[in-house]
Amino acid sequence: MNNNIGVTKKQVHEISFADLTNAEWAQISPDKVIVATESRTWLYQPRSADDRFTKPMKGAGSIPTTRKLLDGAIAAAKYTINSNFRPPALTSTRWIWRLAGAYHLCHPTLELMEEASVGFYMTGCWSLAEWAAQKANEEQGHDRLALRDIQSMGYDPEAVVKALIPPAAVALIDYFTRSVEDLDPIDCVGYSYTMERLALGVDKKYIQKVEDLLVPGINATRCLRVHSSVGADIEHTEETVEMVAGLTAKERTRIARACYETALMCFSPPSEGYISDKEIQQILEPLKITDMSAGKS
Amino acid sequence: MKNATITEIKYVENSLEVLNEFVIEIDLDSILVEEYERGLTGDIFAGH
Repeated sequence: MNNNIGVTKKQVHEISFADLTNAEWAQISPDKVIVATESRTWLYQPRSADDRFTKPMKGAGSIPTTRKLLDGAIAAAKYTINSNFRPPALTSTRWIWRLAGAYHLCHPTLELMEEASVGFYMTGCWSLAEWAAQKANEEQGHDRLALRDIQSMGYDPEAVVKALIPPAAVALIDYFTRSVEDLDPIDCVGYSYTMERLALGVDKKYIQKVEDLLVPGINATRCLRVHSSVGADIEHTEETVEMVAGLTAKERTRIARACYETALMCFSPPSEGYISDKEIQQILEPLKITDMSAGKS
Repeated sequence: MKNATITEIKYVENSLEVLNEFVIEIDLDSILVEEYERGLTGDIFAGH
């Protein structure tokens, strides 16, 4: 297992017998198991095939424990990546890069979730079919928010999203698409939960930080607000956890693994390195809206 | 039934020993606070 885990091991408080009552667990990779209770989550390295937690979980889920299981799978990805790489400081230029990424993440959601709903329906998974149909409805139009934000910053939004395609967004949508196209599209539940759960890390303070970077009067945080703890994602994640807690142990395990796989992509630095602000500016320069009144949407 | 119960308790106790030795406690919310201080490593903001 990653060295980072060994370093942090000392932080663990003693686990009691009572802690493990009603635990849920999932093996998310060959050397990682998430063990969760109502209030605590552990990342565990299995020691042998006889280990209790390398055997498939069998019990029913509960909302608080399933929530901890899925959150733990996302957190485990951060420990796996264990990278000190950080994106360059956020600037108004880089904000356009992030908005373009948001557009690419949002644009295919409606179609893919509708496709997933059909896939779940075909396999007789009614609650999942209903969940995916609801997701398709909830996420509708979020891509347009990103376009409006880009336009507000004075750039041709359609041209910007053609020119700026962040690699992380490409990898994530590729994963989402493959999940949906699978005979059992259940991995898309883990993908969706992870994206919405990570969005809850965005609070009012973060939104203000972004707005402080922008020219006063420019409204370019519509898409961010929707995907934040001040938007609807709190409710959306709660609905998803409630639905997942009612699934079989095998399904919950697979969803936890999909959460881990999705979070790995979010927490990974781009393999080709971060694009610089100068490079973004060079791409954006010819895409400026010349009629400034067009940017006041 | 009684034997089965005893076996199960032993099983959990053994697991508990192993867990205490090879485990770390993780918390997503504290990770997210740190992540958003400088932006997600993937240089995106999450949403869909």
